[in-house]
Amino acid sequence: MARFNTFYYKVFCFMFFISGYHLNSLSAQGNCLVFPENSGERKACELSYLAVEESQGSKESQALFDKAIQIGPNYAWAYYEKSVPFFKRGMFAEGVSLINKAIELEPQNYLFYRAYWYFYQRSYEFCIQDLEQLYSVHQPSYVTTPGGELEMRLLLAMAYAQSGNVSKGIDWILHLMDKYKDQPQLKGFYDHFCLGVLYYKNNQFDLAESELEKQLIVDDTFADTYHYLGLIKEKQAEKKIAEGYFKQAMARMNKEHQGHSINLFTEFNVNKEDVEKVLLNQLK
Amino acid sequence: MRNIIFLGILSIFLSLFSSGCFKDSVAAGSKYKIPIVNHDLSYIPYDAKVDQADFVICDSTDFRSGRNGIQYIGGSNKLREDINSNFVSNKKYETFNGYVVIRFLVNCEGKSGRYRTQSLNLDFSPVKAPSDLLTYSTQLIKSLDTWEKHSLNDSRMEFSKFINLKFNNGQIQHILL
Repeated sequence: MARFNTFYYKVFCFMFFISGYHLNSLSAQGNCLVFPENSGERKACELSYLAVEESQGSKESQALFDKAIQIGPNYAWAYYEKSVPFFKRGMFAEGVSLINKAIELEPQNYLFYRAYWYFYQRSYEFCIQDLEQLYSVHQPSYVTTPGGELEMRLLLAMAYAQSGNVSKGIDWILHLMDKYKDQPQLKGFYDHFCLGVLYYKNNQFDLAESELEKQLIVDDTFADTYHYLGLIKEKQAEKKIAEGYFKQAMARMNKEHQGHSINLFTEFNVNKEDVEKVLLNQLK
Repeated sequence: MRNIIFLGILSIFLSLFSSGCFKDSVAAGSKYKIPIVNHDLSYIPYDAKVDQADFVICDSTDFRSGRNGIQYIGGSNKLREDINSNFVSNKKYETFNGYVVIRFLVNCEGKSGRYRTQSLNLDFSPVKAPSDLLTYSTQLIKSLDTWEKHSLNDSRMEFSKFINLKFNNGQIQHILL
């Protein structure tokens, strides 16, 4: 019996390994050993690892990626990594040409990155197109922006909201929130904030307030949450409470109480001037 | 018996493996242009046709490109205000929905130069902008030439910068920095 168990244990270990082999996440970031020795992909993978050790966008780094692409033209990660410094320097045509090739090879791994750039350059229709394809066809369980700040469904939701379909955006975030019931550890830093803002934009003020209150439990140092709570109270004609929230927002904009603000939300961002303006209006 | 079971499972997985894991070893299609650049991507090389010959570059291998390396005097909001208030709309631009991206360098003397401008569709593919929109946009950004380096330690450092103007029906809709 013990021998039998040992045998099946080995079989299952092998199955697990092979199953992992089929996950494109492995080829996405490159465990070079999964490619056959002396294959173009193996060499391209090794060269790409050398390339990312050089300064991003440097002549040396680019030359290594070029060599990788030449030797292993079907190795997607090289195109993706080579595209990054082009995008960051405003060379969008070159960047998108590279990421398009990566997407052609492995759409499941690289659609998110093109969508990310479309979103932050306010090309919301193309962002929606990419992320709808990502989630409807490839159904990844959890994908974030390259910096890890936001789950990509939050970007999809905000893109819908910016395109005038706020309700659809809300649906996407609620769908994401459902996932957290089983995996609460995955909940991000700004998820309740995004949902609260979309409810606010949809004139669902009670729901918006509830989400923003939840956001305060996650993080009470984020200035923008107080600003939106102030806007809600203003809509509800609770001027004094609104003023209190705006003052809290301003304090955190001024970095009091470890406060901060961050520009991740395109047109939903709040800046110091926005808070100053509403505070001035309060005084009138 | 044990070996037969093992080999059976092995063959099933290897068949999946051969059909799904590795793609055919075909060359990268020419459908997508792969840019080959023989210099640091933050640097913009001299082009005698468009650039001033006296624009000094101290070190072409040490350009910085971070968003906060150089700042418009008066800040980002002032830059947006100045672009919007100086941009004069033209009927000839009305058909344009896309981007005009202006890239340039700020050298070790704090001067700007090597301006490069490109117009793009909303999917970032290159497109021809109407009329003189490219030269007009470039001249507008050149005229706002008041850049300061982030800290005194950066005084001799050199930077690349880009400004992306998103157009909707020929009007500036967003100024993306």
